[in-house]
Amino acid sequence: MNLIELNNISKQFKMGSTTVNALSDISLTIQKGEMVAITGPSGSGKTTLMNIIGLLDRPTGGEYRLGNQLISMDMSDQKLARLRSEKIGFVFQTFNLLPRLSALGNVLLPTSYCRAKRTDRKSRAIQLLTLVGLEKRIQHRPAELSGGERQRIAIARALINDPDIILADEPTGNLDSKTGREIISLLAKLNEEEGKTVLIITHDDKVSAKCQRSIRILDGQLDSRKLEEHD
Amino acid sequence: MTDSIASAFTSIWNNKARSFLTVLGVVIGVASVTTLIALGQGLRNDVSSIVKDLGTNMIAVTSGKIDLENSEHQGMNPASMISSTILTMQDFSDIANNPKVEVASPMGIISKPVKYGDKTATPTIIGCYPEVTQVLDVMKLESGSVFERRDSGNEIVLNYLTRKRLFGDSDPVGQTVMIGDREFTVVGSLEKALENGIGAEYNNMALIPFDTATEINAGQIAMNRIIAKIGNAEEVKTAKQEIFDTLLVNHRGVEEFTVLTQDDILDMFDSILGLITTMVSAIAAISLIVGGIGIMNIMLVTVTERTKEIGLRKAVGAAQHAILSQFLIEAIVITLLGGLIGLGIAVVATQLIEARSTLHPAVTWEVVLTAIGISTVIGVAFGIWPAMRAARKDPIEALRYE
Ligand SMILES: Nc1ncnc2c1ncn2[C@@H]1O[C@H](COP(=O)(O)OP(=O)(O)O)[C@@H](O)[C@H]1O
Ligand SMILES: [Mg+2]
Repeated sequence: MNLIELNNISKQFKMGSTTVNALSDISLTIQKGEMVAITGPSGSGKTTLMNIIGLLDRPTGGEYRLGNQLISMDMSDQKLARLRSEKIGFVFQTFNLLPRLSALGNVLLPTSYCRAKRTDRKSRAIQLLTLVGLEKRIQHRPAELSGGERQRIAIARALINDPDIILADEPTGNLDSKTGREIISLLAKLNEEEGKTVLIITHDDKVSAKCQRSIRILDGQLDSRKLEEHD
Repeated sequence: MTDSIASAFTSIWNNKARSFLTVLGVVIGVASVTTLIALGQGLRNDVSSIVKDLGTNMIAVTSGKIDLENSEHQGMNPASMISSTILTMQDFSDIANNPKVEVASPMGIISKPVKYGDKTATPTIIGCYPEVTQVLDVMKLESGSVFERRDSGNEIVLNYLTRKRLFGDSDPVGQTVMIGDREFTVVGSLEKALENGIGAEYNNMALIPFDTATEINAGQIAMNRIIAKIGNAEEVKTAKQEIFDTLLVNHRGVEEFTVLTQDDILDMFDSILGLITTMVSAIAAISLIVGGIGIMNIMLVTVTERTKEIGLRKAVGAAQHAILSQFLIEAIVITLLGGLIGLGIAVVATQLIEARSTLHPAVTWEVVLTAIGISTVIGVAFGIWPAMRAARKDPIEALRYE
């Protein structure tokens, strides 16, 4: 089943008189349950692509289907926010945890904006913190934790509303290589055991090697020469 | 909602000093507004109980014109009000003969000290008829009696403070006091009347027969006021009109007197109080606006500081209205806390005023609700724009913000 389907997606940024073609004519599909790496040099358009897939940004051209829903250009802010809350979990390079909140508070944050109010949200958050190996750090603030631990909190946060897709933009970029490998293993485990569809933006060949498939982007276009299939 | 309130408290707590300074304007504004309203309320309570305690169904006629209806010319002429030559014996007997009037008495003021031995008191000496105590309920006998007729000669009734000053706690009845070189026999003394601040003057009086007062005044009738009690409460208004019409004829159509009911006196006080309250509130409003601008400024700073947080919240599913209400609630929580601190200060201030003056400020529910209402309105009015700026931030740019 096609979970993500992009047809001729393009994105232009207007900066004064000049126009930047960040993405042009991107067509791709991602199946439910896949784990896909998106690679490419810096500035090639990976983050822009992920923002569009994650419904943080709207394309300037083309068609985007998420599940069986057509994401139209004029969808309201409220509708997009709701789809983000239900379908997508983000993991960022810089973790983006709220420093005032404990690990638990950070994991619970997305539930404030979720329409379906779960009564067991706290126990679920603790369960997720246990899943990512932080059962002993539940009340710690981000500042008291290591980079790897922070990224684990961010992953638990991405899972709290039980999304279909996890979008990770260079999740290992701020971590040493050993911790980075652990984070990728964790994402792979979520993919295998929980059936989450995982998209990882990365520079690292070792990371992309862990994925079932890589999509390479060059200057805003799919690099057709190097569409790799792994294992 | 509860999440937003909790997060507002956390963020305020994390910036304690800044939040406190920000809210100072609101604290001062609310404290002063509520103290003033409480003072006004207390004053109104005092005045209304004094006016009610004076007597029931009372009508007072004074010289001078007080314009109650026409707000453009509202006010009074102090000179004509204390004039003792406008009201006449004819006016008095016309009023006393009105069938709706139960009892009436003229009142004339004499300013002379009263002496007993080497002690001196300076009460307001009122020349009046014995009926005065029937009109004015505040005047209750403690011992002795009131002189029996208007021409009872040199007899005097001492009100509480005058008695206290001249005789201490002993009974003055039968003793002789001096006004100028006239000897007066004390025939009665009155109970302490009206503890309230402005009512206290009723304690500092002495009553002598009206005709004796005229004699002291070198034969000149001194009539500053006529007071009357109407038999039936329903008839007070019509009696007032009748008395007015009679007096207008007596004075050849010149309105140089005023006929007042107790309600008129209260209305008059209310309009003066209302004017003062409006003026003072306008001044306090300036401090609230300054406070509100402070809130707006700090909220704009907060929104900028937390740009990244806003981006993240949007990424995890917050719609614009959720961000808007989060920051609006934060602004309201700040101003509401300020308002409550201000209210607390006002309560302390009113207690100090109560302890150190004769005023009785009243912190009523109305006062409390005003304080809460004002601070909420300030929070909304000055928090909405920063909150809208937060809500409209682009999530991608917000996430990239360092
Ligand atoms: N908001 C923006 N305004 C203008 N140009 C942008 C904006 N966002 C991205 N770009 C441009 O689009 C291109 C792709 O950027 P990005 O998707 O961030 O690349 P990557 O994530 O692959 O490093 C770059 O040339 C970048 O400068
Ligand atoms: Mg990028």
